[in-house]
Amino acid sequence: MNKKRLLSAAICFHLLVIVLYPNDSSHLERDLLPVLLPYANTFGLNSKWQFFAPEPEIATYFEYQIDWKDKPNDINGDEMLHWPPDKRGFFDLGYTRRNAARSFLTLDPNFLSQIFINWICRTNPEAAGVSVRAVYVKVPSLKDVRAGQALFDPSNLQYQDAVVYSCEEALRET
Amino acid sequence: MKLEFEAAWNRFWFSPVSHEKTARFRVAAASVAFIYFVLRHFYLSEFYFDDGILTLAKSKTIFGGVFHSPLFWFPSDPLAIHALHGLFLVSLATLALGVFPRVSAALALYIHVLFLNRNFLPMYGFDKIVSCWLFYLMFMKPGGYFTVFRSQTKSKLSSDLLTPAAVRMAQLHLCVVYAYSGLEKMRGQGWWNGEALWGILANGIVAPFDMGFMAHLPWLVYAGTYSTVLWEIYFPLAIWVPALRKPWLFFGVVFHLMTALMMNLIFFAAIMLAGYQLFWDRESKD
Repeated sequence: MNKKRLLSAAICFHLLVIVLYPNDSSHLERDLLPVLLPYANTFGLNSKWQFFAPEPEIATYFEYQIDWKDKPNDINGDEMLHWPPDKRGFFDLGYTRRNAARSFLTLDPNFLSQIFINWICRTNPEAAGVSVRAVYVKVPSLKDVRAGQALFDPSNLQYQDAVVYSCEEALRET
Repeated sequence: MKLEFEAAWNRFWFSPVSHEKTARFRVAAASVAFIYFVLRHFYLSEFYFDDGILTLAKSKTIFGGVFHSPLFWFPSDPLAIHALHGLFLVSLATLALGVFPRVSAALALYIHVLFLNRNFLPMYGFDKIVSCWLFYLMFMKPGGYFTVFRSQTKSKLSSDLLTPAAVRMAQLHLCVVYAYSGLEKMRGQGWWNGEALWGILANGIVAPFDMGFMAHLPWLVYAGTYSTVLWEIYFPLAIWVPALRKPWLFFGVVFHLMTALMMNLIFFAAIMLAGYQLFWDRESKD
């Protein structure tokens, strides 16, 4: 078979993958997924292109407290930790990675227990449980900042209700 | 008509391309990736070891394994992980230096996908673009430009079919990236009312500097928001119009430099700009 025609067929398939795969609203994409996905997965081309879309992401971080086995039911007074940790200088090498991970964990509530809580419990063997809540950093509007509201102010923080997880259950999921 | 279409198709996909251009792209992309992934050494244990944030066993179950490569495997031993990472860096270095570049690109892509599949959590745009560039570099034949092999004869234009096809596909892939990025923004109210850029610059987690003063320059915020969307959506069209190509690329350079400075996305900007080499032909008309 003519080399150009063979290569053209491969080009058409590849174009189908890179053009169609990112559109997960498409019925055609869903129908062709069994064909598109293995190819896209093998070559790392399984990406959706949503940079700051549809909206810029709301700044979020997690606050958590560890309930220690030797101090049962005494979460009050325990140290409040947060993750990801604050950026250390302009060139914090893992900062963008940790933020990407934080963003991933907010995709599904199960990820928080199966991944984040599991990790806290694995790395703190004396922990009996973890209480965690998401903190959303609301960005004040242009109008409010012009009127004098501070950009970074404690009043801009919105707290989700804390959820308590048992380490025994979280580690069972490993 | 069929013959005319076939001739036009062949002209678009298989016309010889400048080896100097593909070499610039190779060096730019591989160098940026090498520098960035050298730094991964400092958080390798946090994301890729079994005592890190995600165990290997759990990683295989994320999304039911649907997005894992059929060729996925990953070591558990920390020393083996370091070795794999080291091999990845070596392949990027040989790619940048023009030492068996197509083999180096294939090896780098394979290992890159292994790390991506090992842990999806820290993945972001930079990794996705690296995957794309490594894929196309697998097919670009070296032409003696920017290589440590001084004795290799330089040939100005490609003589095979794969190299020009890979260049075209990479160019189109960049168009797809910008098109989707722009069109997805159309689903967000902030990009319609002009305030989306403020939502990014005022985000203390993303922006490294206090950009509160921008609230007193709202027209600058609106201009930045709308121009971003328009530039992205029309990139796939404008880039093929000779009169618009340079202004569109120039805007892209400014845009990515601003994201590097204002959002600390230094390496992402660099890897995107590496792809711009494919639209800049110094030696022959493209």
